[in-house]
Amino acid sequence: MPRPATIIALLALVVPAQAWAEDDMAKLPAGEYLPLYMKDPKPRPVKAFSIDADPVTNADFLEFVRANSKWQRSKVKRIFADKNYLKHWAGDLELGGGIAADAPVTNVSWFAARAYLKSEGKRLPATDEWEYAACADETRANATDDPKFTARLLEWYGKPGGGATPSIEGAAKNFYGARALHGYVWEWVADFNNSMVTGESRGDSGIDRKLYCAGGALGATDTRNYAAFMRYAFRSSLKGNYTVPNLGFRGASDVEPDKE
Amino acid sequence: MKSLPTLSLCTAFLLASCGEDKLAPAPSPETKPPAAEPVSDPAPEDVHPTLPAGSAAEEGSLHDLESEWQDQNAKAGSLADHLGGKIQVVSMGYSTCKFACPALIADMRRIRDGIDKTALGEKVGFVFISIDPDTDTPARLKEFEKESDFDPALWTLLRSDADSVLELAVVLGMKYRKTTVDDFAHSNIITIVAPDGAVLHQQTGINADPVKTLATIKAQFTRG
Repeated sequence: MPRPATIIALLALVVPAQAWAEDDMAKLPAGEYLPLYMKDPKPRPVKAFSIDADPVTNADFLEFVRANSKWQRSKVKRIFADKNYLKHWAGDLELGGGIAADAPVTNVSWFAARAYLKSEGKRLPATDEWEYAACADETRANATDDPKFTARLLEWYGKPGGGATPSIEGAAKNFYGARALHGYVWEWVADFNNSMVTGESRGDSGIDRKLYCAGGALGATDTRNYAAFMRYAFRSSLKGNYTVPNLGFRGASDVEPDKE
Repeated sequence: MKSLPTLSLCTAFLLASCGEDKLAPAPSPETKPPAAEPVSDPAPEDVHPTLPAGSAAEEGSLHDLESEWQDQNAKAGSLADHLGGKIQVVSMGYSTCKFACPALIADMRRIRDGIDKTALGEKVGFVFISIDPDTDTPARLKEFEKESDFDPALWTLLRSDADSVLELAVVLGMKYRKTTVDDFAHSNIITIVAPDGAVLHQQTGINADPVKTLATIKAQFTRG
């Protein structure tokens, strides 16, 4: 029969665990992945890291701008976020009708995403990390060889958008425990600006060679994974202060070796 | 369907580095944008690829970045500390680059040669910012200053941590990627920065005619 003191001690253990669960992150082991459409594809190593199980939501971001007024819609400087920043909200500090508090936040710039994550002690995932996590489906770490997986992504990419971003409630966890990497919103990555795809195939092939050397790793060959190509092309079209109605983000962090 | 207006802009980025040029075949006849308005339309009045023109106070400027930078004399400070008070001609590259960066620096010198000597140093400075913080320590930048015969009264060579470099590159709309152990592919952009940190103009590509760049700088002189 546990004494009351023991029960209190147990409760004390339960509470932090609960708090941790709310800030759930999926842990990914070190590994490698094949960037899917790169010329001369070589597996790229990825160190162990953690990624938020879910994208950052409207409610999360509202809390952030409440505490950090310079990131409120009417106060942010244009260099850090364009004029459509948080335009789906009703005001600086209100979401308004039709906006699900637990839907992924969108219309946020790369700078805003970074500032949010910094306040959480996290960072944006690198392209390699995001792509590595996004190779998984519900049951496999790497589903990219399965045409059905790619077909599912393309189906989403082809769907007309519009309307408010829905809550991800009900989204399935992938192999690592992350949800909604696909199927809801596109997500910012830290190094989106290393994607040098022009996105315009004629531009790629006809570019002035005098000015464009070292194209080795920069072009696209594998047309099978059109979905991955679209992600790279999309990223290469972005600038840090852009905000987009279907572009959100989630956090990542290094996994310290002693916590493995 | 709404097209990706900015994709065509990207062709304006002239990428260069020092490796072999192997261009991949075209991936598909037309790149379709993702569904649902993927990218906000750049305002038609945008005068340069990245930043809105306007007052630094409202629009923000390089002086709003909180990162810390060291120069070739290991003096540390913010971008406002290093760049403020003068019109600055700014580029990003790395000191060990053999091809594009020397060309970029040659372009900066061409801009220098178009400016009245009395204004140089006092009203106009030149800044080279490293994208290779591992190699380009303050000591290495000091060597680079000597190797390149940079006039210390005119040139500031800066380095910071990788994350701050990334942030500044994003602000300036510059793309770069480490391609091998000691090589980077990067876009070549020369940015004209006002004394208050506002971005006034950007010149892209190498061996570009600096006529607009010089006009931008000279317009600042008359502004006082």
